[in-house]
Amino acid sequence: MNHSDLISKISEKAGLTAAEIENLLVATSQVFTEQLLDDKIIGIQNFGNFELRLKEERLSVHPTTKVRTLVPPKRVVNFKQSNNLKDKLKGVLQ
Amino acid sequence: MNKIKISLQELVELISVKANVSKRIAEEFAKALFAVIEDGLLANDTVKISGLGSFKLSWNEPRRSVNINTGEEITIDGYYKANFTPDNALKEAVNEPFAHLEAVVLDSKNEKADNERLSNDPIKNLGSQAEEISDILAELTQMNKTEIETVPEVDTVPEVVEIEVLAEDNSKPEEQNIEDKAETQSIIEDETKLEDKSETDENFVEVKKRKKTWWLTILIIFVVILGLKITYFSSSCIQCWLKYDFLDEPARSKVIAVENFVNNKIDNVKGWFVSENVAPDLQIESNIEVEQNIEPAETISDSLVNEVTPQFAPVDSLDILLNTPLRYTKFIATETFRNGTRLTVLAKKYYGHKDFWVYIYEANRDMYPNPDVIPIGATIKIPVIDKRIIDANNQKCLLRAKYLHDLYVKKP
Repeated sequence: MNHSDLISKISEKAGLTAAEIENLLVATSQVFTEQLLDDKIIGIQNFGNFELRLKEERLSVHPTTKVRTLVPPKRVVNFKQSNNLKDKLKGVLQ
Repeated sequence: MNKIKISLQELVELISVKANVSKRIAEEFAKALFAVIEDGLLANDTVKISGLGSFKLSWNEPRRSVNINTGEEITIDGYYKANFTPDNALKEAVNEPFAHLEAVVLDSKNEKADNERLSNDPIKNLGSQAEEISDILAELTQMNKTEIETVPEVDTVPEVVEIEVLAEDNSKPEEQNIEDKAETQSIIEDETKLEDKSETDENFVEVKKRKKTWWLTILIIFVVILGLKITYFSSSCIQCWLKYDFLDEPARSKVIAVENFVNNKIDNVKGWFVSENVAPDLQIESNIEVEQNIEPAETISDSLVNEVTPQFAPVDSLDILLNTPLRYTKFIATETFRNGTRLTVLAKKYYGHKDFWVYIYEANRDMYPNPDVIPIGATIKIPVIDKRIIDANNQKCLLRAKYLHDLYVKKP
């Protein structure tokens, strides 16, 4: 499902125009980024949680060349599906 | 560490502010958005939202587990899981504080050195190999030199012969005719020496001729001579065995035969000396002339003893015992080869040490030539073996067994 598909589907569901949805999508992504950077968990009921997590620095060794590399710490966005969604997915897709 | 969790309501508010739309529209939009994503996921479709990321399903394989309480094995069914992969923009934005950090290759100098070593390894190997080869060549040439040097010393064997001849001629006539002794001895000595010299000369010439033609055969002969020399002069038997390892089997058997022969001769000579020393005592009273004649004889015999003793001192009776091929006529018991039976186990049971399995094998060699392949149900005869040979505390016995083991196991 690409961007235009998404917009058309949302417009069907919410009864909004494509331009409005476009605008709202951009706003949503901005809000997400802001809130995550603010170290907040975005919890959406029956869907899942978005969270910012810190990955500690680690030492990686190349299996063949044996070159040891220090991988720096980084922050990543983590999504954890809710149990509700999980059950739904279990029930529908087998 | 508790993070503040914002719900959909708060999110909607923020979106409405951001997009500058009413709360109601934003709420409808948000609900629709997540519903659509859910639908897409339920249809096993990838939902991509530009600027945010993509939602995707991933299949988790069914796996086996154990019920902790009951210990029962249970299978956890495979299931789909919703995954979220953030968009590059979001990823970068989120990781901004750490963006300047880059992966650091640790101990780069060492790594480089390692790499260099790795790249140089084949060359170094070649170098070391070349060194090894040159060493071996040097050794070989040295060996050849020593062998050539030993050629004039070939009279070691004649020496023994000389000793034997002398001993025979010294001891035997002494009992019968002592007066003639001094004369005959000197004559015989001269004769034998002359003979020996001529013999050695002939040998030398012959050997030289052969050297030009059959280098290999000469090498083998030299090794045999060296082996003989070492059996005379070496103090430890290990060296003998080491020497034998260079030889092929026929040569080895020859050497062993010659060695046994020589050992017997030496023993004989020793015996003669003993008898000779006893004999004069008996005869001193009867003949005065004897004393005069015996004195030089004794000195000669002393000198001979001095010559001989260092030669046979290290070779004791055990070595002869060990080196003579055993004949198996008496047997303690017979064992039936079952699944799991091992010759070594049998050896441990009957002889007290597993290394002596070679003797069991030797006794049964006619029936089962391959020690590794002995059929189940085979009857294995356990021979009676001299206790001295199977002395587990004696290093020589173990070494001999080890040597035989190598001999039999390496056989194709």
